[in-house]
Amino acid sequence: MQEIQEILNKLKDNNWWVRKNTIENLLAYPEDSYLSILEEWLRNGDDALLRNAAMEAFSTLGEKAVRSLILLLKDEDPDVRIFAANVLGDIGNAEALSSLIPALADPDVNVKIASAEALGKIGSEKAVTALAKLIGDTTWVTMAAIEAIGEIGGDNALSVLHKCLEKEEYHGMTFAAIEKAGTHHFIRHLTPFVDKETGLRELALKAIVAIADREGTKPMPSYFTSLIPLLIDLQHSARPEFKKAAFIALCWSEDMRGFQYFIEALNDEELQEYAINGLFSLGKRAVPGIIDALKKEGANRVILAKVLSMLGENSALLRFAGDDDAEVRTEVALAIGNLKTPKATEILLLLEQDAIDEVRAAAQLSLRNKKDTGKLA
Amino acid sequence: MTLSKKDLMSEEEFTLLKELINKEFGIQLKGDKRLTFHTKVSHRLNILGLKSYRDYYEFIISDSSREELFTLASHITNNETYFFREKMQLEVFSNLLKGIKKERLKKNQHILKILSLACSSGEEAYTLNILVQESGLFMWDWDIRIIGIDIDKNALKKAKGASYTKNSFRLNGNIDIVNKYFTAEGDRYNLRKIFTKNVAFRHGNLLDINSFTDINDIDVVFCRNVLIYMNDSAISRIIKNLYNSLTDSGYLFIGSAESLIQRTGLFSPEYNNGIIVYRKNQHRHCEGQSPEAISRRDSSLRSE
Ligand SMILES: C[S@@+](CC[C@H](N)C(=O)[O-])C[C@H]1O[C@@H](n2cnc3c(N)ncnc32)[C@H](O)[C@@H]1O
Repeated sequence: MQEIQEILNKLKDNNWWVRKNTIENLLAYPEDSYLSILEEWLRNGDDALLRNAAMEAFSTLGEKAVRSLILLLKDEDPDVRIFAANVLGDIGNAEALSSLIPALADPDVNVKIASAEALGKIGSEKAVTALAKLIGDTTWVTMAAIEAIGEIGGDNALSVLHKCLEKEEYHGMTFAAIEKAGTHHFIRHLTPFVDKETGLRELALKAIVAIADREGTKPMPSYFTSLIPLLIDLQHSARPEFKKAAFIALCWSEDMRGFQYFIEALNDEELQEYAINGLFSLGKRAVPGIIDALKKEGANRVILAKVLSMLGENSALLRFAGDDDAEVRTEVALAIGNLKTPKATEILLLLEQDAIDEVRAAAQLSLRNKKDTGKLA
Repeated sequence: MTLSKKDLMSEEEFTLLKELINKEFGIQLKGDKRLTFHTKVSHRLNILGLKSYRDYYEFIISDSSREELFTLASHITNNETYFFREKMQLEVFSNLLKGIKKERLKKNQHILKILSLACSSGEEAYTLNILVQESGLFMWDWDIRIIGIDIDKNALKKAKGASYTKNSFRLNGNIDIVNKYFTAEGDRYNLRKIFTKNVAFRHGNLLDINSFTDINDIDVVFCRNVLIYMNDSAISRIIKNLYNSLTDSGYLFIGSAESLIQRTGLFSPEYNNGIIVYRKNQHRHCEGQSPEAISRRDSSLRSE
């Protein structure tokens, strides 16, 4: 007991690293030996230090703390109830469902909100009906309920969200929830909002892109044709999330107007993957632009060279045989192997002497292939 | 024309390779990046005469020299770097040099040791050398050693050559730097010899303690723009290696988009002209230390 007390005292240390280690040490002891003390600390609203220490401990203890937290959800102090709901959500154990659902009717608004959020995190469809009943409560409660329903997802959740779209005041939060819960079947309900010139276009577009991207079911390029000016406009949006969604849509649109944005995004780790697809989808139309871009400072020349080669533009690659980047030279060496011109052979012979092993290996391979095909012919 | 990811590489193949890279180098590839991966790696399959990424995976894991593993890693990482990157950090570095010299002199030593980790093609290591030499503090009998480490052998080769193109700068029209430190030759800029001395490069994996053999008592470590690509356990391992290589009064710089706050008990942040520099918490070894020992110098973390 003494030992536990000593460990618990360290939870009050002002260094987070010490506290973190202490909680890890606690885990070696049976929870009965310390949980009731922590509960008391938590209830002790006058001493912020103790309360903080207990909160931190409960949050890290996870599963072991679930029973205690369920009890604390009925504490008379609303702050304790809020905290208990928050942590139960973080732990995510479904055992808490039967206590959190009734807590949605708590007299304290903040407890209601915390319980709704917790149910969203736990993610059980059993909570959807109870959460739906909160829609129409105060704005904050409604918002928490819609968000939680979005987190949970499933058919029931989606039909609730579909209903919410009828009410203008819920639009913002509902789109965000649909973005999480939506399936591609739902996209048709969102399309009308993109077609209209309202402030909701961006939200609806973002939801459509997120759903299609997650499910790997991108709409046909023609779906975006009339939206291109909007998508380009959004490339200058101050909201990065809109910019990103519009960029992805632009990549799916197979429209040349997106070209310059694709090139820029090749250096953006988050967008690269879409940009490659976008460039490739433009096919031959993109070739002159790619060649230009390859000559510019700061361009992602490795990817550009690869896209050229994937597009079968082998002779266009000839002029980049002296590139500073060895990976570009490697790509050139591989790509020009099937060109029958003397120029190609001459360059391959040069690349065969390159300082970088990989470039030499690529050149040798191409020269060998040339010889073999020569013999066959 | 559309590109079908699954024709290039199956999800399973991607997962195999992605996890291999994650395990060996700590590098996390987030999300489905098969196209990007393919653009960076497909030439290896051609060169090795392999038909599929599955075959490539088998090839890598059966290669006891681990050569191909390193080659793969070097292709999927981002090598972007340039001279005088993040000027504000470099200014702080220059300002610290006086104090570092003092510490050395206290110990009657005339040596300055700097690490440029994940140095890519060497621009950072050479930048630090230029700044040290420009400071004029370490002349005559000072032994200056700047070591760059990276997994990418091709980048290191370029580093050793010390010959660059415009891609290694963000000049925005201002070519003073180039004229001062480089000699131009066609479209190449060769670093003047005086700035290449003191700098050495070696091949190594930051996760691997063996990469730090003989590296200790370092005054300043630069480890920028690499931790952002790493998983948590890799970061912890790297931090331990950095901790053990730095001298007690040493300084650690990481990228301005990176942070060690609430990640480690080994280092504390210190603010210097708006820039965060990390200092070692004083306890002898990073393994098995008691939390109390850490707390003595670690209280600054609380406020984060
Ligand atoms: C973006 S560059 C950073 C260059 C330089 N530090 C800078 O900030 O400009 C990242 C480098 O980290 C290297 N790298 C990635 N993982 C590594 C590891 N586990 N060990 C050593 N180097 C690694 C890559 O090869 C690449 O050259």
